[in-house]
Amino acid sequence: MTTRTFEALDKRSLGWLRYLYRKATTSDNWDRDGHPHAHWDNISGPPMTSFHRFDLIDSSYAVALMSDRTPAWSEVYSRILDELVERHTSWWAAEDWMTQFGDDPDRNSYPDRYRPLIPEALWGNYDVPGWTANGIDPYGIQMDPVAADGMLFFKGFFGLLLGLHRYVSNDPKWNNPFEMIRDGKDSFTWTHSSVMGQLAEQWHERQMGCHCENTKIWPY
Amino acid sequence: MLLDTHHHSAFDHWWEYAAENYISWNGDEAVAMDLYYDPVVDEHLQSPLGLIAPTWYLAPQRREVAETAWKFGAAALGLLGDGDVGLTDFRDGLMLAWFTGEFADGKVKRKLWEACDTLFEPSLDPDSGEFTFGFGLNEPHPRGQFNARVMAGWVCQPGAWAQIFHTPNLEKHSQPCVEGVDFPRFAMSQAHWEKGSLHLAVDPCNSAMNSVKTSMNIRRLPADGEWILTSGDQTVSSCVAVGGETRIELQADGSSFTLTAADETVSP
Repeated sequence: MTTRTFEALDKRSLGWLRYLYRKATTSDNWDRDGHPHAHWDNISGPPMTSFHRFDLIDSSYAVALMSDRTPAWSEVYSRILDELVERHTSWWAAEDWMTQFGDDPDRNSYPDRYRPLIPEALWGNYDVPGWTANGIDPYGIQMDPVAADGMLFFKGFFGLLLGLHRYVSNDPKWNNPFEMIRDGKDSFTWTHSSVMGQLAEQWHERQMGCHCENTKIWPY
Repeated sequence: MLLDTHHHSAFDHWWEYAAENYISWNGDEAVAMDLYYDPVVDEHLQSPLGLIAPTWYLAPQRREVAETAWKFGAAALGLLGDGDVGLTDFRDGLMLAWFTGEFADGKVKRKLWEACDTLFEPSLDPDSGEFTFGFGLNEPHPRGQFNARVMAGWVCQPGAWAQIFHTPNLEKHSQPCVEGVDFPRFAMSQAHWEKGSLHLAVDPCNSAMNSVKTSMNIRRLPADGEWILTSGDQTVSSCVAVGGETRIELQADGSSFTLTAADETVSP
């Protein structure tokens, strides 16, 4: 049997929980015709993580860890994680994939600070990490970010978020079919299990790894 | 594990390839990792960040590689030596603050956070009880990704992140629990079932709420009948559970309470 310790949470941790709860339960609209509330971070870590969804997944880690310290009280943690998952099903969670088609038109004018991120010999003729390049060879345009051959980081982090929600809440809600993106014909039905099954199948088929941005394999 | 699948074998299959093609080794120790590989142009992009960036995600999966990466970064910034932690900008400490909780506590973690707090601008709102870091950015909203990552490191205890994936606490879903807490005015700083007792403590959001009594529901008790609520100063009161449920009132001052069946034969 695993030995568990349940050291009390301190003021700082519970203060963060209070802030994050307010942030996550403040109503906003992540559909294409809406816009995430300004308190969701889409500016940190450019060009790779300056998108709202990274705030969603990063926010889930402390929630799961705190929940394990107070395992007999899960209602607030579960609510926050549910709000994070809900937003991750939206158009804005896949904003990059839904808008960055083909090669980056600005790739011959990147700032010098991008040089460490691009092979030296390809500078000026290569997409920076963070440009998802939907539609370039070898895959063509694939609007569903989960079904797509690339976008590993989208479905991988989403799977982690779904898993943490299920672990903390024990609520099977997200293993019922739900709609993603929800933009007319670009609406896609998934479940927690089918997202993870899709990712596992793609990964088994490509031992070298799946692309995150087309055509980059990150050893994560 | 949660859904009784074996999808994670895909990672193991991939790791065999990754270890040979994306990682540089010195004996058994990883010393460098590609930031990314582009198979179309056959380019391995190398970066000092390549080994360090995946630390959080490798910790539950290839812990030895993750710990090597953490030690590399921690040593480079002076955390593991006798000198000062060498942070010149808050950004220098973000990954270190995030990862260190999973690998170290005590003196190392205190040393880290003493250094980070001089640059992270910690802020506890005296009314709402909300805590955030401003990082000296003077922005209208606390920076989400930075706050979220370093708070994961703050709350993490050594091995706690990996434990979620290796030995998740699934018993908690059938053990006694507390619901209906008047959050965010009050939050549970302790709430766990151990050795036949429910251990509870309530944190007030501000000084005005300190020592105020607040009530909450208890569910999934293993026996109906009388239960004894004992405070830290051994003050005793009782309540009656029906259908495994009861309602209790606790003083919100951070002190500990235990709820235990009056019938001592109720098993843990």
